[in-house]
Amino acid sequence: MLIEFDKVTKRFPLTTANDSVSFNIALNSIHGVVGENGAGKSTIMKILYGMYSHDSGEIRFRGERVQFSSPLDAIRRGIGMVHQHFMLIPRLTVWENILLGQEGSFWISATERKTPQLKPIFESSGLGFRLTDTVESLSVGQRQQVEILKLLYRESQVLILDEPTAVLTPQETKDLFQRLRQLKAQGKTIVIITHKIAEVLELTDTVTVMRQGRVVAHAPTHTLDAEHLTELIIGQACPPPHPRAQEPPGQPILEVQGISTRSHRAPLNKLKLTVRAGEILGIAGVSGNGQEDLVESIIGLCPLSEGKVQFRGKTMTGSTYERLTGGIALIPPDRLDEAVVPTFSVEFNAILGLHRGARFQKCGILQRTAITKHTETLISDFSVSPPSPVATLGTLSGGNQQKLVVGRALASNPALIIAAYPTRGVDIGATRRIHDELVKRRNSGAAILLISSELDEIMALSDNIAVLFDGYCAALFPRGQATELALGRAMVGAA
Amino acid sequence: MKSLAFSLSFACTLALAVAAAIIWFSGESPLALWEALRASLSSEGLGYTLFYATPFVFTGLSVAVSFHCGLFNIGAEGQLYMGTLAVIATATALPHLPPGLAIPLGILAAGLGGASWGCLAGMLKAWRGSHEVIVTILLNFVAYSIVDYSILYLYRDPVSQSPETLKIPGTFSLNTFDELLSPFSVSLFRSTPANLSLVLGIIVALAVGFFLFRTRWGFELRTVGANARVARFAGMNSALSTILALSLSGGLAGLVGVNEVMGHEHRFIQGFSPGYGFTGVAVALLGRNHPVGVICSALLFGLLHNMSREIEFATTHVSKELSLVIQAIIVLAVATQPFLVSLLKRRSRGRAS
Repeated sequence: MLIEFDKVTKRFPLTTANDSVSFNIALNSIHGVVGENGAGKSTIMKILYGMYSHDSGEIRFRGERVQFSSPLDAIRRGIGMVHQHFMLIPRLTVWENILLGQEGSFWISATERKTPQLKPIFESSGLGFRLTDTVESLSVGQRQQVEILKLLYRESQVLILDEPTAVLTPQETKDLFQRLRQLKAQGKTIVIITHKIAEVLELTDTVTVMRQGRVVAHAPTHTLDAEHLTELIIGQACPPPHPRAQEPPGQPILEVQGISTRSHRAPLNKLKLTVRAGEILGIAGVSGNGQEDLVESIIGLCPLSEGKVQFRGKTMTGSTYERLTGGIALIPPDRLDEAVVPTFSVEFNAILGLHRGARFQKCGILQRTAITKHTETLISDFSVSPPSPVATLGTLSGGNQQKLVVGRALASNPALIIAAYPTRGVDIGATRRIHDELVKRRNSGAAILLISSELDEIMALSDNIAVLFDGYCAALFPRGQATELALGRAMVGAA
Repeated sequence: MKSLAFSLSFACTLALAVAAAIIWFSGESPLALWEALRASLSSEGLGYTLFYATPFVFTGLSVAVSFHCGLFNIGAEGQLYMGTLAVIATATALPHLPPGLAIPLGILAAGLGGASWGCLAGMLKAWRGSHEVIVTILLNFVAYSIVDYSILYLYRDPVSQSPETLKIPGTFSLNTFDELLSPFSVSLFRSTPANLSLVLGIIVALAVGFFLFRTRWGFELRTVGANARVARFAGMNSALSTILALSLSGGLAGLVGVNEVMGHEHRFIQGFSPGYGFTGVAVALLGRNHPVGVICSALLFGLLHNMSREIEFATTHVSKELSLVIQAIIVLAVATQPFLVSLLKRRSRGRAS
């Protein structure tokens, strides 16, 4: 066994993140560590990587007891980790990012001196970018490849990837898996932390399932199937999805009438869409085809160069605030940069955007009791963990933060819900919870615009699916008539 | 609060150690430091310590408020002069007001004078996209010029040899602690200039805390400071928050004029501030931008200011600029503290394993 965890325990002030965790990782295997958000899977790996120190138990690496005092220590011993949020400097080139921290002598340009060392690693991997490209010009999938290259350059034998597919498109995911198998063939050991069952089954050799800080199963992957694995992860059989009401959709709520934008990102190009009451319109598309501009146009953050957006039959002209309190709810696309403030408490995050409502302030003074009550309701409705309104938001896992964001958006009982990537980085239980909630709102007459990069999600929830390509609607499929293949073709403009 | 106390004591210990070494190298006894500390906390010294602390309370709060909105207001110096000028202008224009009206009006004038200057920077930042650091620095020089012109040509005391204004009417003066306590034959602050401005400072600090953490405007201001994009997605108007933050920041700096004119000199002496506005940055930093922290660190800076004065009296080779050295070390210690602490931790952990 390459790595052995023996009764490792790690306590945080509010929770026990790892409770006597024991399992092994075999040399030259792809090992999956799976579980819900907050199950302790990232924590155990961060302990191995030297980011946290454990309270009791021991870790053996190549049979020898180890406790790395910092990631640097772990890297020296051949263990590397790719974090969910990439640790890259966008302005620097791929090269400079790979060398970061290993520049060596001050006097000679490291890029010149070390080129020969990296060339073979780089060329053998056949990537679609050059060492001299700046990281900001790369796609998300390519940035991840840079992170992996960084580890290879540091001669890591063990590669730990934390939720590597959370930000990738289906194609990028395929490429990543290809690459990981290739690395395994080269003798590397790979650990992926994930909550996506299909990926575990497809990629891994062995799997460790964690729940509430404990290991609940450890088995070769081929002995498990999706249903069994789901049951292990959430601790119970998966309930069936919320039933969909069969009533036909009502009046148009949102009408996007031929809008174009001139943003520096992917602009919209005469986009037309209609979302009716009691309908979920799914927007499929490769990210970077106008999704951000669509969201921002509807809430008034992005100026239109032509066309108009109508809400309940009236052209919208008001401020973002007026729109967001006048019946439109938003689950923003980018959680950390648009939806929450990690340094604020959970309760302050729970009222962001709602804070001007008469419930939460009187004459400008925030009403603490009402805010706490509202937060507690959100926490219990969406089982946010830890269940503390005063905890700092940044200490919650991404999935729990997202649950709060969804709960906050739905709290105002909106006529139109813009759900952009509503389950990004969220575990199975919470995803089901969020999906059910959206279907419930649909059944009771809300119009929902669902933007997602997960085709499964779009196909499961939508009444109609519009494919967004290059800023316009490239195809429109009614529920049940869209196949993954047809969608995929439309998404790359080949319809 | 615990980490605040730790960071304060950590910074001070380091700074005092270096100060002691400097005094030692100048050929004086480091014990002078101890003597100065004792003198600064004794009855008369205490009055001066509190008096010097007062402007730091205002400028520290000023910088802290702008920090909460993600802005760096380096213009508190100009703003405090504009506030002081506004007090002089008001008192000169309305010499016959009863004290009950004159005092609130004077305080209001100081606040509005400073706020106008901060507001100007805020509007330039919010609507024109100018960087607030550049704007506030440059507005300082404009303020100096306006103030100098006003002192020399509008309000000058014709019989005085130095560039200063006429004294303002007595109805505008705030009582010193000495005046307030002497009827009770308490002589704690005998003949020191510590005055009710400090009480005003504490009240204002509590009000600022309430504003920042308990009102929706403070909430919006802090959200804009944390991430303007999140604020926009929550329907907040980040331009207005920016203007509000810098106006408030300016207003708080302007209140220094209350201490200087209404509390102490009763006139505007050209260049009275030894850089209260700039030191405000250090005060806010050390106080972790929290109003209570700012009061604590302002008291500390007042103490340092007074100690350096005492040391200059008591020694021949140490000048009062020593306090600047100590301040600088405190700022460095606070700024590098996370790094130093992790270094110490790692070393002790390395030793343990």
